Amino acid sequence: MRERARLRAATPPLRDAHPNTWALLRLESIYEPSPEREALFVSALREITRWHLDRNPVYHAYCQALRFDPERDLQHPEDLPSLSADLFKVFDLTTLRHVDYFTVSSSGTGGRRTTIPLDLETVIRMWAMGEASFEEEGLATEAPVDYVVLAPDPGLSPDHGNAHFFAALMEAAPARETIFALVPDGAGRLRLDTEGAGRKIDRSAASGRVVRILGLPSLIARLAETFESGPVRLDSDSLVLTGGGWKKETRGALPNASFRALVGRAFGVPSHRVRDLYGMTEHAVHYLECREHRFHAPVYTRVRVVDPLSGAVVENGRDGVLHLLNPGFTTLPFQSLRTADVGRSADPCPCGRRAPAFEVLGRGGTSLYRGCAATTLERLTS
Amino acid sequence: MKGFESFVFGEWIRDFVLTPASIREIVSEARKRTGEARSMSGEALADAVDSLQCLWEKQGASRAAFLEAEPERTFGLSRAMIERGLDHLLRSLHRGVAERRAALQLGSPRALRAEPLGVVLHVVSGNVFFGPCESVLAGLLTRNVNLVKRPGGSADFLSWFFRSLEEAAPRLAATTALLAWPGASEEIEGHLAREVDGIVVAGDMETIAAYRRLASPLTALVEFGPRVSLAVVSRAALEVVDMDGLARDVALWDQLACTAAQCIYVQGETGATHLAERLANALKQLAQTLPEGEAGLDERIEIARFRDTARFAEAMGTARVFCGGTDELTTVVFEKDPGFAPSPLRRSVRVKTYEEVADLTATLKPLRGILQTVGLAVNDTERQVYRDCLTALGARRFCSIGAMNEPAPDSLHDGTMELQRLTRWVEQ
Repeated sequence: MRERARLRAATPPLRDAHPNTWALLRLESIYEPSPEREALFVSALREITRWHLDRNPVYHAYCQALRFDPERDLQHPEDLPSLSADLFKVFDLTTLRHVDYFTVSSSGTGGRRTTIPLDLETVIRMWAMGEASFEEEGLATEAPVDYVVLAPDPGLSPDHGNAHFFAALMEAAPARETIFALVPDGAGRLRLDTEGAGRKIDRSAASGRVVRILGLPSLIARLAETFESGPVRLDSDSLVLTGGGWKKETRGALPNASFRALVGRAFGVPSHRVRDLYGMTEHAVHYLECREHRFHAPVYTRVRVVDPLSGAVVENGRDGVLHLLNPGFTTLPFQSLRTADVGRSADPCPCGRRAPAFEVLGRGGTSLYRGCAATTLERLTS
Repeated sequence: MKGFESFVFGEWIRDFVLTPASIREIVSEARKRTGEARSMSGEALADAVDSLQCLWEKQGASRAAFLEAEPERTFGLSRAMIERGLDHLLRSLHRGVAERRAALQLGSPRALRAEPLGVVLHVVSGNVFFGPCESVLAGLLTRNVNLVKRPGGSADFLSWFFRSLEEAAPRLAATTALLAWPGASEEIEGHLAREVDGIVVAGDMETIAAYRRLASPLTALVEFGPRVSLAVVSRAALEVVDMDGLARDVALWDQLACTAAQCIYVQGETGATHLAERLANALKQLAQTLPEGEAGLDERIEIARFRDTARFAEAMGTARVFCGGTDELTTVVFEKDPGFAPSPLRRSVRVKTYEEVADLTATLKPLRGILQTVGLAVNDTERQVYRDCLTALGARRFCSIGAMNEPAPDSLHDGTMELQRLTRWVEQ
């Protein structure tokens, strides 16, 4: 296995400040849980919670109101008070105000964009965790591939969150040729260049090159539909990677299996080479589907499927919201994040991994404001 | 639509599919029946409604069968709440109430005659299970032929209602149809909207806008858009306010009706926090006799968001949270921020504060056009000032505390003379 390049770039002072987190990030076989690894994970959570408590007066006040002390009260991951992802839209919870940081914005699925401050340390951790999951899935390679990226060129669209996200996925394999197929339309908007992307795919298929197609599933579906009348057969090591869900797709989401079937018909890419990623701006980990199309929680994270009100874990196979725990963020106290994403536990997974498996069903909430009260919220907040 | 039974002028049809052709047939059949509907005398209508009421209430047959057949906590409400909802609906089916409504809205000192529009389409949201029945009733009392879209949430109850109508008043039932189609189906809705003479549409802004766009300019539109309601407690009334009534204003129909108090404005901060605490206790008491219903996952997510934000604000000193345990939905939050914010419903309420009436009206300005019911707890000398200020903001109804969710059965719906809107006046 390659040494995780990104870890080498880490700044020594922060390695020293968070030894447990760094020990977690160095672990191999990330889908192999054990009591020792669990203990290390809890220590890392305790460590990052203390970090935020000592530097973040708002978070400190909150924990004080709950009378929560991590050294005393955090014995299990679920002991850590969770924060709703929405809080970061209402309160300024930035921990490191004195260091250099940059910001990234969420896609605004829930109606409002979240702007998240990130420092180099957090980014390095995110990269390291992403790299580990690609390696573990056998999707990291030294062999160059052709990229068809259905996102803007991040060099030309530095503020576009998706551009950076999909560009980061290109770290998993060196690029021989790349086309960014979401291009400016002259009116300040972006359009999908299906012709350019199609020509690139045709050329790569003809020369037997390995291709990686990256993008929102809705855009990949549109591209695939243009190939239905003249499908190609890409090299068997080719890969289709999706992320970001089906938001903003006016035609509605295709069921996952139908999407994979469409991609299979269009590009000849088998189902197990069509993978989705789940993540959110407020969480440092992006989860990569296994070949059985389930997500797994690596040892440096915990994914609980809980009832939103009680926080209690719901039964395997029943719907709940995803509660994500991870010590990655140094800029915000995101280490125990309750999302509005609906999911369910999916153990055991046919892929054989022992790490807990889960499925993501989409964004929950908001349908409550119906009937007479419907859209009132929008009107008042617009 | 697959999986649903439609009722088409006296006949139940399973999996009935609406197509442009079948819509034309239905509307054509409806037109043929307008003469029959129009020919019903006021006396015959009162008899029919009375028979329906008898069936549900006096004999109890429909009510008992309905309660027997439907599982606990159906429509997201507890059994006790459903019983109370039935009581509320049945009050509007009393012969005397129907007659009073007709006299109030359709009576005329001159030689005017209220004639039905003809064929009326009802697209009414099912957030409260008996709501669509009230719309159908207005259509029947005005002697229209009524085509009713089966709403999502209350679909089962509407079927029961139509079955009882068929049994109690077959002549009236033969002038109605209960149809099902998926929401936002422009093709179906466009055909219907262009063919009918009137449309009653209640729902969100998107739905209202869609029917405005789809309907012919000649079609009468009776619109009930999104609304919010609130209660106001002045300093003078603070000690005497009916807390049990205030709890009902929040909790009846689990706050799913647009008449439910989503915010309570209290004069003075000290009084507001005190009232919030008392209200939380009153809601707890009320839940003994009218238990909470079962909220879906999306609703629980919204309530959790509301609570999380409130708890965080509490830690920052800008809010106080008074809520039940993790197995309860009821949530009362005092917020220092006076701005109106909608509630996630299911007995979740914000208590806010104001100092002067002028502050209150300034705060509530964004509600212009969507403010519906205001429950007032003020003293007699203050009452008119509050009414004037809030009327200027567009409030449609004032009532005393405790009456927000159970308006009198002959009262106006959302400030609208609905019966009048479903008729045209003919000078004799």
